Parts: sequence; C-alpha cells; structure tokens
Amino acid sequence: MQWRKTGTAWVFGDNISNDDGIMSLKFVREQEYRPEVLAHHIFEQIDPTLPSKIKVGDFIVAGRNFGFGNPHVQGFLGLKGAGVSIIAESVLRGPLRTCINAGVPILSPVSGIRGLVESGDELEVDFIEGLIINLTTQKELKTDPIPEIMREIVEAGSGMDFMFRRAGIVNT
Amino acid sequence: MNTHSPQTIAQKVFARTAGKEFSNIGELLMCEPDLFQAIDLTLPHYLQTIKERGIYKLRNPEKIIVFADHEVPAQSERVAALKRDLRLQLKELGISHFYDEGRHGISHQAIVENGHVLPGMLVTGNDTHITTLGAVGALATPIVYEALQAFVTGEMWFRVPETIRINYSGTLNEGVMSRDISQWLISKLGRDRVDYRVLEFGGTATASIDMDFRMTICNVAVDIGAKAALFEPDSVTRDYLAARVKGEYEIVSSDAGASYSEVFNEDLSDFEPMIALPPRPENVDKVSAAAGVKVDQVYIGSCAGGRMEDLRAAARILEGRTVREGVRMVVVPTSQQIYSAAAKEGLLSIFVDAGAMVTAPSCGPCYGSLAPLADGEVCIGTGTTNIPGRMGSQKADIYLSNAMTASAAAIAGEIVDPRNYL
Repeated sequence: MQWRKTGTAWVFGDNISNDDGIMSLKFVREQEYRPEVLAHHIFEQIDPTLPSKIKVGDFIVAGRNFGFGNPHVQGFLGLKGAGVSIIAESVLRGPLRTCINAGVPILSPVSGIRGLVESGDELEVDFIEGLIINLTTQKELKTDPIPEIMREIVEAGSGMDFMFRRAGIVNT
Repeated sequence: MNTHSPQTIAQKVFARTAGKEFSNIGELLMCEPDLFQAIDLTLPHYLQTIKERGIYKLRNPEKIIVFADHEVPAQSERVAALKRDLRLQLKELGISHFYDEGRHGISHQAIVENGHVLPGMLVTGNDTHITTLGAVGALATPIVYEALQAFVTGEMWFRVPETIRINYSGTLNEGVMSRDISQWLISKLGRDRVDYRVLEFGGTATASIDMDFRMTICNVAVDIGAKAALFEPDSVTRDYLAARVKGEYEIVSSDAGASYSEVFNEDLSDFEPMIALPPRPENVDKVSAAAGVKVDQVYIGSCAGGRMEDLRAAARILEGRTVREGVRMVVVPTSQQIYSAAAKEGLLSIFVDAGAMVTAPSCGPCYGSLAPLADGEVCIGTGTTNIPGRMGSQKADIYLSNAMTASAAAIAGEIVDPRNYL
C-alpha cells in the first residue's frame, strides 16, 4: 500500500457530524454496508454535488470534532468506498476507532491543517513521515505519523481482516 | 529499581495486558483483555457474522460473559427466536458464562455483583455503559463494533490514555445522591476535556461511598466520551468483593507522583439535587430550573439508576403517598439480585401500593422497548441518557435526575424539589 499520496483537498469546518453530516442516518436504518453504494452519498446533506466531485485519492481536510455523535460505520464505509483519506484537526475516540476499523487512512489530530489548505489545493501527504505538503502553495506541515497498528489495519483492508489474520498467527 | 516514571492505574492495566512492564501515555498497544462482556441483543448477529466468515472457534470462550438484558422477557416472537438461537450458538462455541433470563441483570451490574470483575482488570465489550465496572477498580472501556473481533481473537488495540483525577471530600446533604454528583461532573468537565481520557476517583470521602454510588458515577462518565472511569480500590472495594470472589487478587493503585492531565477536588456537601434537561445529558442545572414541568411518565431503573440506593430513595418518597392520576410510574430493578433484596426489604410493596408498576430487570425503558414515550410526552427518570428518541418518540422530552426527584414528580405530577417530600 502506498503511504505517500497526492490528491485534491476538500476542506470542511468544525463539528461535521457522522449521522446526517458525513452520511444520512437513513443508511444506518436501512443497514446498508456496501462501501461502493455509500460512496455515492458522502456529505450529500452538506452539498448534494460533493459525491460526484470528490475523486479517488482526494483528501478530506476536516476541522475539530470530525464525525462526532454515534460512531455508526456507514459514514466511514462511504469514505472508504470513495477512496479518500482524512486529515483532521481532531476526531473523538468513537469515530476515530470506527474510521480505522473501516480501513480509511487518517491523520488526526493535525493542529493547524486548515490554516495550510484551501479546497482545491493539491496535497502530497506522507503518512509514515507525518509530512503534509501543499503543492499549490508550497507550504509544509509536520505532524505525528499514523501509528503502526492503525497502518497495519488500513493495509489489511479493515479491522476485522487485520485481527483475524493476526489471530491465525496466534493459533486460534 | 524503577527505571520508569510513576504510572496511573490505566497505564499499569494497559501495560500488563500488553505483556509490558510499563506503558507510555499516547502509545498504541495490542492488549489481551481479562474479560469480554456480551449481551443477548447483539451477540447473535456477531456470532452469525463470524460463522459466515468460516470461524467456528473463539480464542478464549471462558473469558466471555454473556447477559440477557435488553429485552427480558422477550416481547416478540422475533426476539424469542434470537434468544433460542443464541443458546445453541453459545453451546457450539463453548461459552458457558451465560446469565440467562431469571438469573440475569443489566450486564454492567450483573457482571460486577457476580464477582467476575476484579481491581486492575481490563474489560471490554460493545455496550457503552461498561465503564460502570470501574466501580471496583477495573478499567472497562467500550469498543462497539470491534467487540466482534475481540471476542474471536482475544485481543484488541488501545491507546494508553491520559487520566483526570477527581478527589471527593465531605458528605452529602439530604436529598442529594450519586446521580447529582455524576451529572454535575459531566456538565463541568465536558466532551473536549474528557475525550480519550480516563476519570480516576479517590479522596477522603470514598470510605463512605458505597458500590452503588461508585457504579453510578462510573456509568455516567461515558456519555461525554470518557474512555473509562474508575475508583481507586480501597477497603470498601475489598469488603464488597469478599462475599463475591474466591481466592486472592491484587489491588492495583496509581503510583505516588503519577501524571494526571488535570486534578479536581470536590466537596460533596457543596452539591444539591440536579437535573439534566433535554436534549443532552451534560445539559445540567439545579432542579429549580425545570420546576413546574408536567410529567407523563416517571422511570426508576437502568444501569445508571435502578440499584438499592435508588430503590430505597424512591420508596422513602413514595411511602404513604400515591402517584398522581394521569402519571405512569415504572420501576425496574437493575438485576435479579437487587429485585430480590428490594422484595425482602419491603420496597416493592411500597411502589405497588403507591400506584407504580414494578417489572422484571432489563434495560427496558432506557432502550425504548418497554413503556415507550409517545410524541409530546415528558418523562423524568434515572435512565442513562436523554438524547431524543432514547425512550421511544423523537418528539418526547426526557429529564434525568436522582431517584428522589423523579419520585417526587410522580406524586406532584410535575417536576419539584424532592427536599419538600423528605
């Protein structure tokens, strides 16, 4: 898996909720779990044109408290289906675990990221070095790298894939 | 000789279960929890999911403790079928610790009162209010969907958290209960401060703070995102466990000089009856802020408020009085053991004589499956949370209070200061 990625940034404000922010609660009630279906609905309550504009490899640059509320998995499965990565000022414990467990690459907390990036900027992000370069403005930001366990989970595809593969090793 | 800095209880628990001498705050560790708590509502789906992936064996079935709690007894054929299938699934997988209907209680209560939880244990499961287990000094933290993976593999990754220390001194005033202290605490601390952190309780007042009180305090903390909440184990812990645990266990305490992100010192005598106004549990004010609000339903129960402390308080208010016409009052003891103790003390007849309904232990009203609220109705009670839709209609208002305040509202038909009824 490539941990140095380039793509376009989509910048969001603080307090984007999980339910009815990242993803309509409708898909939780319908028990929809297919990433390729959910990908067509990410952020559509914020802007209905976003699902068609956001491309594979793009970055969701979020403010504080991204994905707050009940950590339902549908929103993050949608982001996985869309093939994006997340860079956030902060994410609470519940949604952060759900994000990683769904297999979505994330750097959080990244203090000051929104001051570095505007929507439409091209970014180059090295998750292992913890380096974010805004190719449009040539500004850089150093941050903590993605922790090893989180990296392994994302590389495995999901938390379940990672844990079950590991369990094979530890003789289950 | 110690080559590392002093450790909090949380650091010690995560280090031990990761096979390490000590741990650093912020590091991610793969741990082997001591216990896994599961509930009959979600476990059938989990076990079906892993079977579909070709898994027929769990690593440590003896560490998994299962409770009938969310809908007991079953209220539909669908749930009855789920429960029937679960009994077969548990047999197939070798899970023998199952507190089935009649021997049950809400998981977070029953797992403690049946002596499974010891100081310094790491316990995890998918039901959020598992933080309650910290009452005996265990570190218990919810993992929601990932519980499935943990049940299978016996492992789970955790970040070693910072700890906030809260010291209690003094004694409670009349009419004030653990629920007032806990609601006020989450209101004061707030989500940003508590996220990913452990709350650790101690102080001079703890010698007179019993296990019911401790469980309520640890329960409510999760509603503002605490990773866990625990009381430093002491003689009260030992006395409580003496009747429930065979054999020796170690008391795990924080080292002198351990690093806390913040320390708060609170005097219990500073508190008065509090109320959480809709729509969030941290929306806390003095009871007077809601005085006069008419109520349709009163609820005493849940993993936050159906223990002996709560039942005794409710009975004290209700004895010799009657529930106002037009108000429904539902009392749901948190476990079978509590139900039995309340019967022996004569509390249940006080409730029934006052015109309240007493039902079998379950999450019931706090899960919206029993006594749901209709559009426009108002409930005051000791449930865990007051987010819209928690007890039925999204358009119903839920107020959270201590058991005395809730019971006084049942008599008055509106929210009143319980101290007028003592």
